[in-house]
Amino acid sequence: MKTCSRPTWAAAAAMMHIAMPLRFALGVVVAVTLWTSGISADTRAVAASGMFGAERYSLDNGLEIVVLPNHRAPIVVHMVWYRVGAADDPVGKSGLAHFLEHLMFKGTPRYPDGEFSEIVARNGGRENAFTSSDYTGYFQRISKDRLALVMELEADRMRNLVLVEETVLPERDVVLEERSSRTDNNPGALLGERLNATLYARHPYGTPIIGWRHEIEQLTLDDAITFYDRHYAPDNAILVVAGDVTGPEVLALAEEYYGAIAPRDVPARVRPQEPPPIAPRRVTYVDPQVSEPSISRHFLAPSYVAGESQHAVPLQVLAELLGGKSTSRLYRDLVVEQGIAGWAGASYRPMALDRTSFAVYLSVKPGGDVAAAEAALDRAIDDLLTNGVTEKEVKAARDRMSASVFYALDSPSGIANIFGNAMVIGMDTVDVETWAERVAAVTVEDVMAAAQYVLQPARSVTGHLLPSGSEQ
Amino acid sequence: MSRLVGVLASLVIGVWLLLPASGHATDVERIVTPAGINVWYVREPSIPIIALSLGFRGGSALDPAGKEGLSNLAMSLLDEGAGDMDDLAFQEAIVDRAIQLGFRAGLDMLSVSLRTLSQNRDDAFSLLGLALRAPRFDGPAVARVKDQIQSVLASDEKDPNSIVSRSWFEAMFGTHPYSRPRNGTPDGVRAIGSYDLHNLVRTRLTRGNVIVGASGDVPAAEMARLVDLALADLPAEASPVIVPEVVFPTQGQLIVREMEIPQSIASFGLPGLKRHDPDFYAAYVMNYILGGSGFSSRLTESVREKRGLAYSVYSYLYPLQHAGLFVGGVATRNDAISESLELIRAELTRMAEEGVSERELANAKLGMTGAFPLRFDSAGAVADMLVGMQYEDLGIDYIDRRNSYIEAVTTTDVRLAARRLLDVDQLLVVIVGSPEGLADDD
Repeated sequence: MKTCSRPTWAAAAAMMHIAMPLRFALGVVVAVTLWTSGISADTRAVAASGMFGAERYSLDNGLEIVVLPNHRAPIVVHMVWYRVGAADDPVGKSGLAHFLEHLMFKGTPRYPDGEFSEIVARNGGRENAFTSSDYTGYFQRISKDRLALVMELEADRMRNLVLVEETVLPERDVVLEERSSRTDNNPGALLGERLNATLYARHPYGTPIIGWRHEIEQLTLDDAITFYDRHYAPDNAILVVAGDVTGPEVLALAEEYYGAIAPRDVPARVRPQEPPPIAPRRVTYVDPQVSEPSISRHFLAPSYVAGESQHAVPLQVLAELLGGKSTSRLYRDLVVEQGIAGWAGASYRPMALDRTSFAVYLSVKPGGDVAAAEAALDRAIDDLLTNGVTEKEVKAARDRMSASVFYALDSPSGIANIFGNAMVIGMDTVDVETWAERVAAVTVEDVMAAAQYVLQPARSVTGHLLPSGSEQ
Repeated sequence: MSRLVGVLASLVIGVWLLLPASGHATDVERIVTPAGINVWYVREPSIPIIALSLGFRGGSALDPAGKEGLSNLAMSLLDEGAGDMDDLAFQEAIVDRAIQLGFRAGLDMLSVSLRTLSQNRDDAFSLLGLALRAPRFDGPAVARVKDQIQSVLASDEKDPNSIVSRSWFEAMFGTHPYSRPRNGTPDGVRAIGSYDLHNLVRTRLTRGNVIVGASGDVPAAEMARLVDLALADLPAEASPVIVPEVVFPTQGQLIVREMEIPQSIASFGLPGLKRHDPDFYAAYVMNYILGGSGFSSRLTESVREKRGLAYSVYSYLYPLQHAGLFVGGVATRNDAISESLELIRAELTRMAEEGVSERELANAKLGMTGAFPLRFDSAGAVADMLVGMQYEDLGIDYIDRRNSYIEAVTTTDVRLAARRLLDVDQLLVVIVGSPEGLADDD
């Protein structure tokens, strides 16, 4: 109740780049001393004895492997993450990474179109795939005795995908329908696209993951094949297996199925970077489908690995105390006390390869004054920057975030997502294992330094989503 | 009350909308607590989490006429102050202990879910007991949550997905209480007073009316103690749940709600089967093959894979206490929605006339039985399932028996169920958008 909207699950989930937008019920939260990992004798293994018991291996062809043993149920989650996402789309071909994600189900000589999914289904598996700005991932949830089967299928399509016009063109139409469902029928998503496009003057995070419609329409078979040949290779991939397995088991199977695929010397990801932000920006979008106004403000912010990354964990604490729950500053102030907003909150996604965003948002109560609501939001931020946060607030936020790690242990899929996302942006499993310790070390001064650094008007774009008839 | 603030766009997008799934067959213990409450429990010692799920019989279908939305409002307010704690104090008590407490009003049942770290269990169960037994319904909290609900209702009025779903259920259920929007109506919510809220709590949230499922790392005796901590002091008996059976329309219908959006959204469906119908499993397998199995379903093959007409096309069985439904959905650009619907009608007809092949049936059985354990992969999923099993009276050994019901279905069973269910002349279709080229428009 009353946490608006945003998956701002503190800890574990907040470490993920974002909530899986599908209907991923990631139960998040976790406990600290649960598991000791099986320490592998294999020299390639770096076995951490953190709370998740993550084990890390690699193959000679460059494939990175993370194993997350969890013996609650006799099932596994098998995932392959490629270090390529929408922010790596060629200029003018937005949506290509996501389009290829769809096309990865179109068959190989060994398993022609449709067979991959049919085999997984027939074996009691569930599967899907996902694309973000930084990665593309494929996964199956299945009985543990079928792990070899899904590995064989996934390894096969890492190298042997066959694409032809007859399957590629209808799938492009599917993606256009997907764009309609997610974005074009949805005013909030339409504004979100424009906000990103404005926040990022140069960096491709400003381009929608699914692509601009006029560019999706022009994507070709050749585009897809070129992209696949360039980016899909073991040296550009991370295998994550969570569930009722051991590291040595997974390593042996991975050698067998993925080991024979030759590396491709995938070029390093080089993306254009943002110039220093110097001017606040505003975007207003009016749509007849909107029933009540809402305001959001996004600030260009460091990630775990980009920009002033020492602020990343303190910014997570800031997001939690500012707008994480019904007891947060923004909710108490704007919703409960002033009664000017219906909902209010904050969110921050530190798990990104390049600089990301810190956001605050509120919905204006029906009949409310949008300008007054924005002024109240400004005052709340000013108050925080001027008067600071209390030790009590910071401690409560830290404790909640630490606790959330325990809930994550309850969900193998959720844990696999966190580790996959971390690895794909160049972090190590140890960084995830020790996250709770870094949270626990955050001080009031750290939070304030991060807030002063990020919550500057010059770094921001403010979006207004307004009902028709309320044009300013 | 969570809702999407729309401007925050999804940052990861997938190839496929996930269908609900999720668990592992385990030993279910029946516990009777010292206070006499029945609990079905699965112990999972490896993870220090406790999940408790409760179901109270009787849901929003019991909301009085003129006070539509009462159940939803009451459930939304249970964690907004209880006992001597006001809203902030109560919220701080749960938030600071990382307790996850959820309340929801369904059509037939009021649901509660509690998730807590094992170390906080006494506080968590005591706070839950307080919320169920002594919610305060303080004026400011009631006003704030009413405002939040009104804003959801206002947003639903303009959201094409909400409109299509609401319109479809209204047309299907007619004047039956199921036809009312679960979140209520603006007038209904406005009319709800303090007495109504307290009365609902007194008459519905009772020991005699509760179904309890739990999973956690503690021994059964400890679980019994915790359940009593939360539930022993509830009132003993509930007032009876009296809801009439649904009488469905006898004619098919096409309803178009014009809206200027690029893609038309359609709901379609028919009367279906209730959970205890002898044909239920046959219909369930039939629907899996028709539109319930994601990538491999016939509807997906025809509408999405072959022709690229939709991102998502699906169907499901929706068994309620007083009606059964078969429901589906699709979204296609305005100039081709009629083609999608024609293809769907053709698939329904083909299923009714021809049924399924032995190979399709065999594959469906492998898939459905093999995937069953995936439903038990978290404590919360297990607790929820234990409530569902009791609610539907499936028996404590249902998890062990369930796959045998699927295995027993024959192609003849599927064909008969399809013929009984899929009468396309009866099909109720609602479209929201600017659809073009509908054959029988109006």
